[in-house]
Amino acid sequence: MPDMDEFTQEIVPPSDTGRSNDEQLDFSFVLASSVHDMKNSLCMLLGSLEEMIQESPPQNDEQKNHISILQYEASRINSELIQLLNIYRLQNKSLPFSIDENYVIETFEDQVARNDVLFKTKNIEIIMDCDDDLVWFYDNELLGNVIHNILINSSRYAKSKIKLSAICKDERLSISIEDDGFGFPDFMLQAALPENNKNSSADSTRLGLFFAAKIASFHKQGDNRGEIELSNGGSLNGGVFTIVLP
Amino acid sequence: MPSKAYSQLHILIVDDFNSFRQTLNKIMRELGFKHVDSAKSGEEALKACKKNHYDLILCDYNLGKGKNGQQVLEELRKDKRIRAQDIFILLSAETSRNVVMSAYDCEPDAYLTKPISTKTIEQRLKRLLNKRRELLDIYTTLNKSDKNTAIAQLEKKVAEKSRYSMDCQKLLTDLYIETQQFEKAETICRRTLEVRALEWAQVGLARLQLAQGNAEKAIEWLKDIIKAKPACMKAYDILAQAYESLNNNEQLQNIFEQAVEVSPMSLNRQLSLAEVAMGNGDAEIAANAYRKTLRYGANTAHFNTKNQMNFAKSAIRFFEQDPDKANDLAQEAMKTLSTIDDKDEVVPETKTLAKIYSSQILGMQKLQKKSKEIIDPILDSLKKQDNVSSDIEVEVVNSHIYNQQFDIALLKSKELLKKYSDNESVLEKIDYLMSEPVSEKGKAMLQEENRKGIGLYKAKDNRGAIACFSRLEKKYPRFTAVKLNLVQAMIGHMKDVGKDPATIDRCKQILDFLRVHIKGDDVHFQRCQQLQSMLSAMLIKQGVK
Repeated sequence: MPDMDEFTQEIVPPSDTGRSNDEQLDFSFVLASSVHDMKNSLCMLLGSLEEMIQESPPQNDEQKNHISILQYEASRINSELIQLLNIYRLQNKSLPFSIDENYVIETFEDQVARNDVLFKTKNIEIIMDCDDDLVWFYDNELLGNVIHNILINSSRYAKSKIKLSAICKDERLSISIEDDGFGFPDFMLQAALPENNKNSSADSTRLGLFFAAKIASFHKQGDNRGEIELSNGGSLNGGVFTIVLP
Repeated sequence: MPSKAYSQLHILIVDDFNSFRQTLNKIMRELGFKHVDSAKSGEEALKACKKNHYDLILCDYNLGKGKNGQQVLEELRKDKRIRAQDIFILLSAETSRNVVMSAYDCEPDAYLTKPISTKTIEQRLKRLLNKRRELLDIYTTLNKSDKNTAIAQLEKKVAEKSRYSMDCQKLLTDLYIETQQFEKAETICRRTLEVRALEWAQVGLARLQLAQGNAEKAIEWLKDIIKAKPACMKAYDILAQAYESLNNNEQLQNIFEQAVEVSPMSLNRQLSLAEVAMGNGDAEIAANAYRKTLRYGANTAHFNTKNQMNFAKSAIRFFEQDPDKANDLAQEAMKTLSTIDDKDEVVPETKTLAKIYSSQILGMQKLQKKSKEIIDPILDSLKKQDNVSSDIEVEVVNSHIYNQQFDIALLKSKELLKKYSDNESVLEKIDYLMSEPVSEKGKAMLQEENRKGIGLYKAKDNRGAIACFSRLEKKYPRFTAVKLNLVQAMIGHMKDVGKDPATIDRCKQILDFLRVHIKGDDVHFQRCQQLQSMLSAMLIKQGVK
């Protein structure tokens, strides 16, 4: 034990090493919390809707049409809210972003199954063109949500078909989602260009693209980042959404 | 499309909502499953798993009161109620950060978000069951802990380029490390990393360092991983093992604190945090962590009581350190303690200890009369007993101290010293009562930490000195030398940067304590007086009343 002489009687700067408990209640936090709440409500709504369709299927085309609108709009908002939350969490580093090796076909199947009821009520046929053994590196949750979002959007414009395809070339995975609708209007094609992603004036159609671009860009390998692209034409002669991951 | 293979499997559905259990039950039967049970809470699920064996468990995350889905899975793994080939699917209606983190943290075989379409379940099950079929032999070997055979089987699968090669390589890395085939493990990790910076391979390399005795290197790498991927929970767990191997309890606590911040729902980590914090004397962190373990519910009655007692003890220690801040916790501890006496399964000794703890809280709340009403009958009955445990003896002395009966406390602690003079582990408990250490561990700790603090003080790092002495004071709140050094460092600090009400209060509080306990013949008496007058002089000079 030291005795007193080991101490002189001078000096000493501040001591407080206590934790700071300041909850930073900024607007984005409040927004994120309410988005979360809205999303949960929509999930309940979608769940009830599915049960309702199962218990009492639509009797005629008009009813079927109403239900498909209900389903589409609710799914669309829901999937956008999920994207919004994901971006918020990624930026706050509070979401695990985990790149792993995944079978692309499984990611496709998951998202198609997720929207099974929607496609059935809208009579949309899904075509998948992807090697069973194709694997790639990505965050399955996040990419899944991008595909989910695009599928819902395509279901709105497709006449009868949506096609998902994936190929690997030049060390990059390219995923395309095509429909047989009228294709994207010009302003959308412009909005999807990389240089226009940043100044998104956040109207809702662009928002979806903004999310997709953001999530694509989280995927990095060396100097390469993921990208998205919109075009018209493709094998179904409609809109084509493409996401390329390094 | 009902499958024949499905009809053999045993399924458990866990959800607190009746309607969802029914929906899921219907879906499963449509898919061809014949043996479907259900449970409406985590506790019920665990009970069911003790009675029966399930090949497939579909478990909702949010199960209302008690355990959640992650905790159910953790528990099943801990008790080895789930075999390698069994499938656990976590379901959830919400995607809050905690839920996503949980799902990521506990690694169920699948995580599905509601609303879940029949198609999704059908497809996912098909895929998981295919995997199970292909790897069943390996799982069976693993269940028998036959590591060498499992390694051979896995190597074969990888060579065959199985669809599940990646899973096989992860398993192989684990097994190579367990069987000390470090080079082979390293080859897998490095080859993987050449292609992509995958988390499991990065953590794998750090684990290899640790397994080969290079804890420092492992720590460096793991810190890098966590910096880049703050949600990589495996890295925290291995980092904790590394600090544990170095007996660095301060850093160990730190890493558990970080880990529960990132992923708060893991019961195991909360418990580890509580235990290490208690050992470090950080009663505030310990009490809060124990409280969380209690909130999450518990598996067995024994576990529950033990945690309740530990919660009370840490809350009491915290109350001693900071009565204002700890007031709510102390109240809660009081409530918790009052439930112990009614439990049939609790042994009498624990019941006695619970009452002593209650008397300690009442004593500190200055409710001495009530405290005495509890402790006096206990003291009477203890006199008639031969084999009183040292825990009870030590806490009785503490009870006297909290009731301001310092003379009796001193007398009794001297008796204890005599009785246990050659029992190091009891002496370590007695340290807490004493004004200077009596155990070897306490002496060594005091010497080392005090030297560290004095070194910092001499090097003008007074902030560091105060932190060092405060830490030591928390662990041994009655050691005179530590208290004096802490006061001196704080006075010096204020001379340097100016007055600060919190620090003044702290100095006064310590000196008040010492004035009661240090008499004129004490070796520390003179220094205590000197510090007192230094503080007074400084306050007058700086115009503080």
